[in-house]
Amino acid sequence: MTAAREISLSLPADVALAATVRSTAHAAVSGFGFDEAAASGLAQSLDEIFEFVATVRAGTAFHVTVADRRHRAEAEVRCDLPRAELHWLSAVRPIDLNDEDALRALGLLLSSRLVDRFSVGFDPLGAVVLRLSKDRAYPPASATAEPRPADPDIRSDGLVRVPSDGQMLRLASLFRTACTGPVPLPFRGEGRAADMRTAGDLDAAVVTDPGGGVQGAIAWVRTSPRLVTVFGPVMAAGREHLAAPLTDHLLRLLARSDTLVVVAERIAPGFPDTQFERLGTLAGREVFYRGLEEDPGAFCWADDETRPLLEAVHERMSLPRDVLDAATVLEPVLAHGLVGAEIDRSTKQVTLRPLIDGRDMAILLATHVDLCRRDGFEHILLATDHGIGWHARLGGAIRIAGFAPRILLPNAATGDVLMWEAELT
Amino acid sequence: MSGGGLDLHRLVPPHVMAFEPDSVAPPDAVLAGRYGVPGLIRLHNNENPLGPPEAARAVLASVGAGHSIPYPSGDAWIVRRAVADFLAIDADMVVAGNGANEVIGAVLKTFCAQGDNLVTADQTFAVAEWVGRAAGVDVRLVPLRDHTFDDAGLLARVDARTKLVVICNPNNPTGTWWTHDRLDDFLRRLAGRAIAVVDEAYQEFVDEPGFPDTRALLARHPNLIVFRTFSKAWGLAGLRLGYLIASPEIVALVRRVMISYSVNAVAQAAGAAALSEPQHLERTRAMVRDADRFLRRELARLELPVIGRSGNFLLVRLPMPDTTAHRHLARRGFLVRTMSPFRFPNHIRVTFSTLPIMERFIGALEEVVRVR
Repeated sequence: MTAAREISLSLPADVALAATVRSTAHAAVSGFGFDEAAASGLAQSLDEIFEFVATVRAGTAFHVTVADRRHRAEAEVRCDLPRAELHWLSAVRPIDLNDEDALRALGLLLSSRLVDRFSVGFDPLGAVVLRLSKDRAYPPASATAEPRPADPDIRSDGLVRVPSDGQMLRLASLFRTACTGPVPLPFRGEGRAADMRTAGDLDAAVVTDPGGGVQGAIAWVRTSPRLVTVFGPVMAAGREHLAAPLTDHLLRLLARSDTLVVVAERIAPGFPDTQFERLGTLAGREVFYRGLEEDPGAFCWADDETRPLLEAVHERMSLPRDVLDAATVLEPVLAHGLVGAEIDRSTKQVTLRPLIDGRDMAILLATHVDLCRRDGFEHILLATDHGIGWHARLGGAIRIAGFAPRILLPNAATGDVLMWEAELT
Repeated sequence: MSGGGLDLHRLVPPHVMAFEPDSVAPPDAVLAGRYGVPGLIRLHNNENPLGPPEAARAVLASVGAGHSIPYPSGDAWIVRRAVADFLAIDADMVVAGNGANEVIGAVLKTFCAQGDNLVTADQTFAVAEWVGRAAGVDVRLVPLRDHTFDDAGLLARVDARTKLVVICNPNNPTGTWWTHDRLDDFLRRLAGRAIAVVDEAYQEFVDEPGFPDTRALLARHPNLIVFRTFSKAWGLAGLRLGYLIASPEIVALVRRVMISYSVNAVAQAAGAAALSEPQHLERTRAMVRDADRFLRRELARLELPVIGRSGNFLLVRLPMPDTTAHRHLARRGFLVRTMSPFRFPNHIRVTFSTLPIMERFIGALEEVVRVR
């Protein structure tokens, strides 16, 4: 059995040991074959977090694991970071050099900006879990090989299969050829999709011709425990009739699993409309939804701002929902909230998610939008989970921050997720 | 998961942690409230809209205040004898349970240890698959061939660790079935290497010749177990009553793991009474024939393809996700079963009902399909 490619450190949060954390992380990421930018970025970020914890919680336990996920180097940190300090992790929080409080946490603030992805969560016992990662730099894709000429007799029966590593390269090539808009991240760069599949972060199925040529493909990632995001299907010219069987194949694979929801975007011609519900448009792209189980009904939270919209969607989609009044949800205890940000600079898109409630959420949201605009982001999205009361209470603040509601994803998280998009000013 | 610092995950076997529990809908009244309709017509569980036979109704009507309710017969003696008389077999060949599902679980417990395997189809009633996975049994799924259990495919997956081969005949949800000769041939080729479990929950709805003669097959194949139920044609689903028929040797083994008193007294009495009224099956079959004819004609008019041969249901392919249709039909007062969990995406299974109900259902379905 091959051992996992990861290195773990458990040590007390002591400033004197900061160099150990930095050098170990750097050596690990370099050893995994990542370039200097990835190694130094992740190492520096971890160093900043460690030093901050060593300052505010000296001597407490600090655990870090640096793992090779092939397409990215990922670090997981478990530490005794107070919740009241987590707001400094906001990737787009403004740095005010005249703010003493901000200067104290400057390192922590910087740490989230040194990596490509940063998330904050809590383990079942309530301890803080930070995940940060740097992407591997991939060479540009080589010239795209044209799919073979269409054979009208090809059938899907028996030809849908799990792609080999070689077919993963052709799959990515097919995505790059077929996509009419921006190519999804997994298929950019030569070899990223294959690495993601090896790391367990991407699955795929292909339709092949008798010679093994990839004539159609569908790929998917598990975005959350209950939600799968689908890419495709994409088909070679003349193979559009195989899109529906390929999608059926995926839906059969997901049957009787814990997946409740499948989300897809129309990224290429031949999208099988009859297998999805169209939800609307987000960031200029059509978004589709597919529930995998009968909807047994649920409650959802709404404030005065979102109630009419949600009720209209419930009516249109026949969603059985009891709407609860978010005004009854308790006000936040913490002064500062935290908003997570998933950034894709290549498509100029950022997706914000409320992570920790705070009394400054209205200001924080408005600041995020302002900074994202100044940073050149064209699509600023926000996801609110209406199974969580305090998310729903933010409707008014979200509107004031410049967001407009776009689509509702039923059962996508704790409850239904409302996706907002900042309107152009 | 933790409870007061207790690490529950450490105490639970991995195969249980990996098991995804069945999702259970709330009671109809709650669901109807959520969908904003006064009531829901149940076309999703293959129940008999005619209800149980009169004799069984009389038993149920006699259950009332003032009667003491003693323990039932611990091994369902009453209903086992009634089944034996009905089928002209020995009562030692019958095990009754709290629904056929309990008996399926008992068979699995009797024959399978962790690491053993069972072989069945991928697009069929899933209880054996669920119970097997929850018990740490390797479940091997064989694709249907022409919507029918694939005998050669099943046999190809049998190995030294195979304990059960589970066949649904007629198959739920495709309604296809093996004839007597085909099942006999399959059992001959299986040659006692594993127990053959044949679920005949829908056998009462087969009115074509050639269906397997259970008694004759049991006499020839000592590794055969047949399941039947009172939940479908007999209209007693809510009482939870099902049974298996097998050789006395198999029955003696299965009874080792059965929980005594699991079949309540009312279910035993009602089940026994129901069997005294076989003409109820004729009325039910006539209702099914009418509904089948009507639905096929109307679905053809709507250009919706169907799959089905025998059973009190039809599988319908829709030009939309089945889960979407389920919600829109519920909003119009009808419950159907989505077939994505049966690995038939975009299909719903519709239970046959009386013609007035079927006519209203077609009206609702037409709205749902046309609106899209």
